[in-house]
Amino acid sequence: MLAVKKYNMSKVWILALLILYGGFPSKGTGNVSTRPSAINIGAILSFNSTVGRVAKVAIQAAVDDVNSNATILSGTKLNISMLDTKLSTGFLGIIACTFFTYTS
Amino acid sequence: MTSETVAIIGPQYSVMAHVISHIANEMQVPLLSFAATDPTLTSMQFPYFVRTTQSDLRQMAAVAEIVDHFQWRDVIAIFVDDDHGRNGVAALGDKLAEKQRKISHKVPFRPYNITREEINSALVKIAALMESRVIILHIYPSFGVEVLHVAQSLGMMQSGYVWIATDWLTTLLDSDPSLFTSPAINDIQGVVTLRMHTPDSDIKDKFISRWTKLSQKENPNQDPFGLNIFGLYAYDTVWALAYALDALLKDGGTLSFSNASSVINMLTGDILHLDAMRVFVSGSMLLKKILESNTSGLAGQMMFDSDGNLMHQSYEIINVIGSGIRRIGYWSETSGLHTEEAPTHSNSSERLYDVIWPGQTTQTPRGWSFASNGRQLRIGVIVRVTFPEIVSRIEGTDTFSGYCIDVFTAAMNLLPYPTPFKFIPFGDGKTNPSHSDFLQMVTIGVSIHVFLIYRLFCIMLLC
Repeated sequence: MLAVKKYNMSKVWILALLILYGGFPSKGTGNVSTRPSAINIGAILSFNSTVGRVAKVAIQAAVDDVNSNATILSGTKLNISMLDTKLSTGFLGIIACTFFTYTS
Repeated sequence: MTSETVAIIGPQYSVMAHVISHIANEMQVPLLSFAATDPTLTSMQFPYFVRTTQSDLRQMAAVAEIVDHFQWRDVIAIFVDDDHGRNGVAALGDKLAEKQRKISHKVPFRPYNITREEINSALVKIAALMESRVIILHIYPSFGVEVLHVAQSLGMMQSGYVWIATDWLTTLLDSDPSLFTSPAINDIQGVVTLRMHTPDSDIKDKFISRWTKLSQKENPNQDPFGLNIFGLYAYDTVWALAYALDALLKDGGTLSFSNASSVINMLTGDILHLDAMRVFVSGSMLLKKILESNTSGLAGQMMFDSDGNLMHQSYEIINVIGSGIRRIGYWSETSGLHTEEAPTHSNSSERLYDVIWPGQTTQTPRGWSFASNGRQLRIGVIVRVTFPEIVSRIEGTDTFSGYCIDVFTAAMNLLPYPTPFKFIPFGDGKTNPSHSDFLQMVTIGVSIHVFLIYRLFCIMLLC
């Protein structure tokens, strides 16, 4: 029973996502109308490392610059979510970014 | 879950990139890593991994060329024993082999939580037991300076030693300029290091001038930190992704996801909830657009070759001197080492400016020394009862005196480096030993060097 319920739930989600990503065909006004209002991207880094703390600022600056630039992805915003893997390259860090990758 | 991610910037560490690349393959979500430099990541195994920075394969080619330039035969590689360190050092081994040079010893370090005692005992072994004095340090910025500090305390930052640190050191110095005025700077004098070369440009200058404000906005309570090369690549990576997404949408691509493949569902069932995973339908198209990038960013042009590596890669060769650093040259894939940013093709041009080596010397270290457990030069000496003024044994000892011995030791002293040697007496001191018995010892492998003293002896008898 539980498995069936889960299956139904995920069907609902897929339907919702198809709608979100322009699953409805556009009405012949060209590609622009199919453009999503936002695109999600992720970032995986270690916020307190030598490289990570610089990269975190740079990535955020670049996302802001892209979003305020009218010539690129106009009408579409980049949404960024960042995962801090702490200073670990070991098991916990890997588990954290595994889940981040396939659940975000 | 709200909506899916079409691409991921990162991961920062090569170790994680190996694991996440498997997932990215399955989900068809491109990974754009601005800092994972392990050469093996751009393999056919990981088609969705895109390296938006330079590969350590190129960095190691640059290191090998420096080693070749100074004609050192063997090097010791200290590295973090994980994917990043091992694969970097494997690339170094390959690149050195192309130049008929080699890594004589590999010294693995624990990648995290390494103690000072562990560093100390590894370095003591190098100083005492290994002949090479050229040490390549391919580790993480988090404990790199600590290693050099221990080396300093063991007298391994003196003349005779060569330390080549990979780009972790310039990354650290760029991000934390206060190091130049801290006592730690004394531990890194004379080190040669590398930095990914990014050509000067207006957009780079503009970004650098924005940096202090940006970094303070992020951490208002902390001191501002310096920008490093990976910051430039991270910034460019977002733009390259934005251009690729733009191109994808212009071509009519959609950003839809489908359910995870049935294989995954079959494998996992309810346990890992991998059924939550979706496949990005246009992932392969987005990947294609990313690999077709041709953008100009803060770090220069972003274009990929057929292997998925950045094209036009070059490095700066840096020497740490006094309270600063000095660029002593460049390395590029097409021109090797050169002192000017744009290489000139005349043979007369210098390949590297002078280096100030550890111990404040400009004399290039020869790159090796006798290990304390190394083989000594063994000199067979015939203990004769006649002609004592030529060679005679000092009673009760294994030492010798005489004209022949004086000439030999004077000649040894003329060598530009100390050569440990040992006299091995032959004969009982009561009768003159047979020369043919003595030579017989050579044929059974005592030492070829017995000839030296034997010949010298014969010549002196003739004089």
